[in-house]
Amino acid sequence: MSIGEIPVESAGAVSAAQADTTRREFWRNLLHSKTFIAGAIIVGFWILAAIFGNLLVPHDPLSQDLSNINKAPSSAHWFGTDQLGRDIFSRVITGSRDIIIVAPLATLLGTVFGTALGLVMGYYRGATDEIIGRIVEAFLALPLVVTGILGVVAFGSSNLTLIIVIGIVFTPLIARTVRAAVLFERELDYVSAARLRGESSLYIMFREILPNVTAPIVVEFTVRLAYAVFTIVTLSFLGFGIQPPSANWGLEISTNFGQVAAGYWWEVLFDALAIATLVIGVNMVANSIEATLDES
Amino acid sequence: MTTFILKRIGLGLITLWILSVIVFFAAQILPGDPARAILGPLAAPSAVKSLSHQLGTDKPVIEQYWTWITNFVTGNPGTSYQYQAPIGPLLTRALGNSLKLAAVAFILVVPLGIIGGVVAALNVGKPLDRVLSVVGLSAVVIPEVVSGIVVILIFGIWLNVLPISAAAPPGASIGTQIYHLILPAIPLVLILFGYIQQMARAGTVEALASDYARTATLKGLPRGVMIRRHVLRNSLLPTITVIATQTGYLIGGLVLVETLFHYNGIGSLIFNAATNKDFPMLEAGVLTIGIVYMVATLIADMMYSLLNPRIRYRAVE
Amino acid sequence: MAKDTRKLDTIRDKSSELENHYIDELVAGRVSRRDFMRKGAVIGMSSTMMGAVLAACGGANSVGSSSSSSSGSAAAPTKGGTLKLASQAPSAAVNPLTVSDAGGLCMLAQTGEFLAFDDNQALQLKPMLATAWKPSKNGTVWTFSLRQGVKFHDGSPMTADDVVYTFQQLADPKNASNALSTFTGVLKPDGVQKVDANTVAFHLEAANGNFPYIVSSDNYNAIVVPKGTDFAKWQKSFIGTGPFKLKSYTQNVGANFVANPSYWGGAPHLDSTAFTFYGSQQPQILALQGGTVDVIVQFVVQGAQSLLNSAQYKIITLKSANHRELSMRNDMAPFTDPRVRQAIALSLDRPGMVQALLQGKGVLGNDSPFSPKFPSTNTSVPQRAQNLSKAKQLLSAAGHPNGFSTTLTTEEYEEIPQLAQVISEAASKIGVQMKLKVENQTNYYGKATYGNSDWLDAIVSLVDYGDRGVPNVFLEAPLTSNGPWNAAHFKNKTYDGLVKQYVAAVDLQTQKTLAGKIENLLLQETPIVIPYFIDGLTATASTVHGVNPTSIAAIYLKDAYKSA
Repeated sequence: MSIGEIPVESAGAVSAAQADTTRREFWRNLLHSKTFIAGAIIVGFWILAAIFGNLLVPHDPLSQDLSNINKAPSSAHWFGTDQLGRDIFSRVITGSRDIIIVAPLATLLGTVFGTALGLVMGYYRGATDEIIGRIVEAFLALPLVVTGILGVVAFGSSNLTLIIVIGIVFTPLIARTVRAAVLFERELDYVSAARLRGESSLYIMFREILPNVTAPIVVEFTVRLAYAVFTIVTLSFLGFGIQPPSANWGLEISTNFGQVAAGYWWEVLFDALAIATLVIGVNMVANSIEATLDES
Repeated sequence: MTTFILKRIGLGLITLWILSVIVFFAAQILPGDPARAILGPLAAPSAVKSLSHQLGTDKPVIEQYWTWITNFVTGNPGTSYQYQAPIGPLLTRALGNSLKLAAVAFILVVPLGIIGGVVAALNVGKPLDRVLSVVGLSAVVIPEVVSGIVVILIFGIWLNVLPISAAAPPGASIGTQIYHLILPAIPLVLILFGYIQQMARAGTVEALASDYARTATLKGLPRGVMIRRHVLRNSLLPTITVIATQTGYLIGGLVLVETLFHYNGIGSLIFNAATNKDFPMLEAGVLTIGIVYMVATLIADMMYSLLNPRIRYRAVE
Repeated sequence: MAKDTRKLDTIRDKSSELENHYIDELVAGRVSRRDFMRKGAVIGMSSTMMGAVLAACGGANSVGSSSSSSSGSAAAPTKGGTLKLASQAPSAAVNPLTVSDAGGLCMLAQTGEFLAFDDNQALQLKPMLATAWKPSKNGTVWTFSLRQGVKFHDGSPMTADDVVYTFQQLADPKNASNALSTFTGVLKPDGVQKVDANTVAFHLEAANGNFPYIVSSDNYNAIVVPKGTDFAKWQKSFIGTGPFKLKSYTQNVGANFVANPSYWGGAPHLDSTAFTFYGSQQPQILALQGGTVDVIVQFVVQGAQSLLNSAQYKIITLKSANHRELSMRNDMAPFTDPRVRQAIALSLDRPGMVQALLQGKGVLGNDSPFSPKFPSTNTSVPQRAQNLSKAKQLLSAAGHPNGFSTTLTTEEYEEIPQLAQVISEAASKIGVQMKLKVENQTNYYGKATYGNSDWLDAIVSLVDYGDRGVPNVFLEAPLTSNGPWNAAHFKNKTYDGLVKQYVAAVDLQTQKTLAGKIENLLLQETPIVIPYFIDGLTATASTVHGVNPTSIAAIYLKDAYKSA
């Protein structure tokens, strides 16, 4: 996707200069949004933790101490220790890494496929739209677990699997939004003009219409990002995620959830709270982008 | 209207058929085979072969699909490979459990969401409105694992006031059953609250700004009465539409809450069927969710078009 | 030992050759009293006779009084009431032929009974539906005398025809019988023969000194059902001969049983039992803590620490041969060199693992399937202990002074993912980098045949083996050259020969000698690592008495009752 890269000959679309102004205005408004700043700080913190966390944490997140297992939070271990005596604070801080990698890539995958599908459906309408629409609808009715299990089987249990599975789950959702936007755009003069010029359908879809539907796509992308985190955590909890011993919030909760009945609450609570902060941060960023786009 | 509904039902049936085909092909790439899942990994190969023959899973896949779909359309969902028992009762029980949980969640969230929305609308732009919006919008994206664990720890373990297992003991009264479902319903409530609150807020803001509201205020009708009589009625209907569209999520997205709170709902039924490659059970479960999802969407669309004559019958897909 | 030679001689006169052999072994002090009881029972010596022998040899007679191994209480049992139990949900249909999981076998044992009973703990295999059994001289034909006056729950009498039908079906390769993995090479359907209305003879394909175990509760599929039973429909009636009858069974929900007043062993104390099925352990613990259930049939340590540390509950701990097996591909570099395999085994801190992963509820493994619970286990073989410097030396000698990298593939089951992480960390201490691949069980086992299964194909694989009454299966399938579960791809003619002799051996001393050879060979070759054996754990409320669980997760409730 190339936001703002609009060919000069595309009559009816906003001119490049205008687009530039809009873009600057958008960024200015966005940076004035307190919600955006707060969200960005939270997300930024977790990105930094993912990259440099290993250098900052007091203990090696992988180092076991079998004589010191299931210990409650203390000054030595701020968040306590887990079933294998590992330091939970260190594991929580570094536990964002997989999510930080997987969430944007999965969302991007879903956005690319969803946009392509949505463009095709909205542009051609008629039989193409009906047929793809039915399939999209069927996928929407498919429970996440089924998609998850299939993904794990087809591609093995890994980050790549998560990216593909979540990409597949998101594709129909994004396709639906993009289709609705395209349905509106295709009736506009600039599209008819391009058609009269004899441009190919592919050209019209991707060079004429796409630049004009970027706003809903960007919004959809940011909103989906928070859901990607949501979905990664859910799938990891159900056992379709990342391999141990690597620290990962969803997997940590999944492995240690059984320990709650024994009273070892610290083995799940801190991971849960970390997830909450990240999704809220991402969501704040998404909401402020949406609000700013609505304004301009 | 009738043609609209008939068309929608027709399209829905086609979608369901496509769904069944997707699940069918998907099930083929699932690992292992049903006989192996039943007999365990250490069973003798001859036993596995013989059980596959009894179950009919050694037949060509197309034939299996044909047998299954011809039975299904004649109202016979078939026999579970795994339990060697009719699917009907197993599915009904699971769906019933899921519906109970969804019902408890709705009973909690609908009043909360509407009150939250109306309160926010009456305080547009004030801090209370902003707090409610932030809470609502954040809660929507918090995974059920997270909210579930927090409520389990607080109410189930530390305060020890609510049971953390969704299943009531066998033979328990309705009251006890609901009591067991409160904690599992909270994560669902949190997710739905934002949607309903935002919808109710927008509806109320619009209704408050409308002509009749202004007229009513001018006529000297007390504010409370005015809100109850005009605003609520006009803001409720779009809210119901949102609720209907979320039913699909509620029925299909429950697997996590069911796992977390140990509940035998349709989510865990599908999960189980998929891991054990119980193909007839998987198909029946997925299609049931599909049907619920489509009926709910249809109702939502019908309500939407009833309420909004301008876009009547140009179905929102 | 003060021996009453005259009495012994009288007994000897009435005894068979094999029985006399055991008496001799006992008198000579080569067999302990405990082992004498256990082995005597296997070859069908009656407890009265064994008691007489022991009495003649001096010392108290303590035979036959251990009807319930646990929670014995001196007070008179309370009559009536319902015992509520939490059990793992049967993962598939409760079909005596096909059941393969803990939840299912526990259901079979509620109404069904076996020819002999092995509670995996007591000194001896006890008579159940058979009152006595005898091997032929070479151990190839075993004759069982059936208990008379036993009635099925539908009122029909149990006879030799029913027993013959049951075992023919179980042993028929044309049937989807889970017991086939035990019967293959041992018993064919036509080997089961009716002698008379109350006697059945089993003609084996090869001599087997432990055959009675194969028709005991140890082989959980082998409940005796009426002749002509349609196994697939059995779950509708649960017809057996046991102390409880089926009232209702609902898949995934639970099962209810009521006392069988005409039970051959006398009616049970309880009026009824109610099982609730659970998909995981945590809610079972909460249900016990909340008083919703009285018993958890079987649990693992993870997440149950609160039960272990509380005086409110009785924990029944059963020694078991349940273990984890780490196999290294003997045919793939670098594990072709036994020194590399030994190095991995030497890197493990076994006592630390038992403490951390099992809270001490287990015993150390010595890299052979001979659990200390088997009488034939040769305990004189030294226990392997952690020795990092020796491990590093061995690696250097094998040409890997800086270690190497490999992948450990395993399944998501109980504490196994944690164990895998502990093994990986231990290996890293001697320079071996072990990446982990933890799969769900379906993916891990795959088709369970070579070439189609991560379990059997992975270079390093970690799998679980449940408890058995005798080590035969553990010794054969995962370790012999043509064994079907040989994940280590271990092929050793000497080993194959020793196992064949061990299986055929009828007397304990021979078994013990062979066990010692096998144990030493396995330590030397180290095709597999068995770090520990896991105790079976059952929890009950303190008011519950007389429950009789087994380490394969069945539970017998004939003598159970609840005190006020």
